Amino acid sequence: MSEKDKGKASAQTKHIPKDAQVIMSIMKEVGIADYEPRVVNQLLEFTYRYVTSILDDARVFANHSKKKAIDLDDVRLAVQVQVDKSFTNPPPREVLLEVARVKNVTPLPLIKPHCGLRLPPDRYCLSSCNYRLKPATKKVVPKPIPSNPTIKTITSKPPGTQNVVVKRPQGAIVNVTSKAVNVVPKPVLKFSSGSKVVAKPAVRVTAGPSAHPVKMEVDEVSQKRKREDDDYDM
Amino acid sequence: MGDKSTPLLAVLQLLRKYNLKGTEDILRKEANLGDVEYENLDLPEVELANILTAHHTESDPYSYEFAYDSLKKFVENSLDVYKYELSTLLYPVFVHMYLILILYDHNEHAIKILEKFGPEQDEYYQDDLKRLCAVKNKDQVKGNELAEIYSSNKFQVQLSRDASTQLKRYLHEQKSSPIIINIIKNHIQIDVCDGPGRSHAQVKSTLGGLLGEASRNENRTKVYYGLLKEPDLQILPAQIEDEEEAEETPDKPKKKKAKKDNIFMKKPKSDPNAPPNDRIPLPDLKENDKVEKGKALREAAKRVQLGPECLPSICFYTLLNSGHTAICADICDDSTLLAVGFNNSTIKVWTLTTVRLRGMKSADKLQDIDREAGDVLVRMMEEKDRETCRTLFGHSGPVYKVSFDPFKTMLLSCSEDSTIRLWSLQCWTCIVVYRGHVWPVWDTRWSPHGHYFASGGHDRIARLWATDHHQPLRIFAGHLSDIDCIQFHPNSNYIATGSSDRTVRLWDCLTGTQVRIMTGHRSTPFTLAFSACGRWLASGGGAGEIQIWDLSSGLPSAAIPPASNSPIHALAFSRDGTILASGSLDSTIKLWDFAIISDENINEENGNAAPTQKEDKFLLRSYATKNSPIKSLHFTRRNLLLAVGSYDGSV
Repeated sequence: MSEKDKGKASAQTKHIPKDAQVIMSIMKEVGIADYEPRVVNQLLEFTYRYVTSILDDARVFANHSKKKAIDLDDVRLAVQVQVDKSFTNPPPREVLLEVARVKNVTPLPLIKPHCGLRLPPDRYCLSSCNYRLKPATKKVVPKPIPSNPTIKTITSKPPGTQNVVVKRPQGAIVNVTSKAVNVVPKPVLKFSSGSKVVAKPAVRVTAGPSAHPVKMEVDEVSQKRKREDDDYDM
Repeated sequence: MGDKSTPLLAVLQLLRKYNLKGTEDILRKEANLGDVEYENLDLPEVELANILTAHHTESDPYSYEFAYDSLKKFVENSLDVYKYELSTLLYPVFVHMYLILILYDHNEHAIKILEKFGPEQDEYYQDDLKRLCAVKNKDQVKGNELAEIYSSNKFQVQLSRDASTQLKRYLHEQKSSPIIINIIKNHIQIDVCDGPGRSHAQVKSTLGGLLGEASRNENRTKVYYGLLKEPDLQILPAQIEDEEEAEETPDKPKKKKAKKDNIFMKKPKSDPNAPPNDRIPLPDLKENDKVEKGKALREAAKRVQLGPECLPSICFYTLLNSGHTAICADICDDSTLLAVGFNNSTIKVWTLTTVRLRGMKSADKLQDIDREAGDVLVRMMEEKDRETCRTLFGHSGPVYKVSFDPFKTMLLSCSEDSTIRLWSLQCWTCIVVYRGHVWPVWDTRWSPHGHYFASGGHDRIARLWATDHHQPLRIFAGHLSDIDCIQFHPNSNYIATGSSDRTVRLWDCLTGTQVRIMTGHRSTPFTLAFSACGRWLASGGGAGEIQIWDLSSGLPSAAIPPASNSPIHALAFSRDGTILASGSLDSTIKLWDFAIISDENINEENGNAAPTQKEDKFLLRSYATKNSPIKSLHFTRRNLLLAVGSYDGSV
């Protein structure tokens, strides 16, 4: 019985291709004893992909220098080009020390008093309003949408699968530095239209399966945007 | 070609450096090196070999083995007083011998040396040796990180004066084969210090760093490890004059005034070791924060005094069904919120009390609230929108660390996608993305006073950020390998980092310079914790050992050997600094008596005392969970210990 098992096992190992055996021996040499069998496949795939791309690049270089066959130098050049792209290493220690020396000379900036949330300038924050795309025409819409979402009104709570981006004005945090109240500043966006935003603040921008053409109402949005910009510049 | 061109190119470079154009041209012509700098062409070997061999001591590979053997014998035969210090020389000499042989293409000899002397080295160097022996010939040296570190930096060895004279005498005798002399001259930095030779225990305590021990000079800067003077939080109603930082307390019934006085009116004696309050700019406390602080102080007064007789109770939060997806956990300072980072790039925040997590009101509702009201911060939250758990989306890689700010308004997270994100705990969205690290960020922490935070990652530097700058304020460079853990000192003036080069370094936030380097870990430190008084730093490593460092000198005060081989990922000091709790991946929490360690060290103020190592003296209790490796430990304000771990049901 055990011999049959052993025979089966050896037959199975014979079925493992030579390359996989090479990978397994590499793992053993490096000292990894415990790994899932899929790892060997993943490493094999990676090896094949890497080597073929290198050799492809080397072939291109060899052709460029009008050589018949790929040369060691071609391969070296290909490796160099590839390595710089994909396997970057952190900069060497001297570079880091130099950068640090330059950076650490400036004194620590003073902290502005009486701010709400201290945040970087608005263009570095994620605190602006989200936009919402208005679908172009009703008949192009392939998916059933319960309500016709426009910027103006929302009559019902849209389900999760909507292809529009909901405005989240309440999520926006504006750095209001004028007030002396030491609280988190409230967004000061004004809405002329009676737009009721129904979605919860945690709703994120949903790109949605919007294959159909969606016409963005540029004018209205840009108008609104400008007004909001004014508020931001305060 | 081969080993002849390397010294030639070096000579060429030297000539170029000294602007000896004529000589260089002649050399080029003779050596047929051509115009291109690093091109290898055929060289007339014979003459050059003759010229170079006279200075070319490296060309005799057989003598290396013999040289190492004789060095070993010398070390073993020397007096006990010197033996242990001199034995620290063996490893760097061995490594550099190997590298030199590889560099000059004597690969077979290199392999022979590796096989013969490799297993004799200390076990914490075995991992390094394994990485090093991947280098089998000259071309591979450049790609191997460890080989590059060794060839470009000097290994530090500390010797007492007598030991160094002994060594000099031995080397003098060995003048015929200058191999070791050359290695020591070029690659090893010997730090000679006065005083008697160190004992075995003393030497062993600081071994383990990737590049040897720290030199005395590096640990000489004065470190202000005291705590900042806390601002006074009370005006007596009778007093109308303002003290510099006196503020109002929330109204309380008059009969409690006496008790309040005790808590708030304790003026601490000025600590000579404390930094001045304005050494680095710190944010002022807002009214709301002062209320919170008052609350915190009141709770602190009610806390349980811990000690060997009175151990803390432990409340363990187990994450179920998280399998291998939960990576990190953090509990906020007043112990009401728990955040967990997952490897699918989400973060979940739970509330640990009955108070639910509320979202903010919508814009139009916010316009109607009264902004001048006292409780506007409560009014701006939406009553109907309450949940016990909130999920934060935004990262594009596993989240490696989450950290609450001391005022419970924001959450920081760092991830493998090399960004650090700031989340608002009122709108439950991401507000800022801090980009700068190009490689995974392994750890990020808030400063205990808010406003600043620090991060460390794979790029071997730590950065100090402020929330209102999109670029870091300080860059702490100096580690040789990635930074695995980072922690702020309680006075926010210093940052400690632990790295894969097995050192723990302390950096000054004001100047950005390294003020302490502490070696002694046998493996990468994974977690750091400062004691409540600020003088001691505890670090837990990947082999399960805990080191306690005294920041005033940079020397280890205690080393707790590992109970099992599993890494320690959580360390926490109790709020009064008497108990140190450690949680490791073997699912146990251990409590250590820290009062003994601190007392012992205060009594033995004169340095050079051997760090205490008896584990039984310190270990108070060990608690084992069923199968939940500990991810995080947190002492509440009343000294209750909270622990977070995820149940590993697969085993």
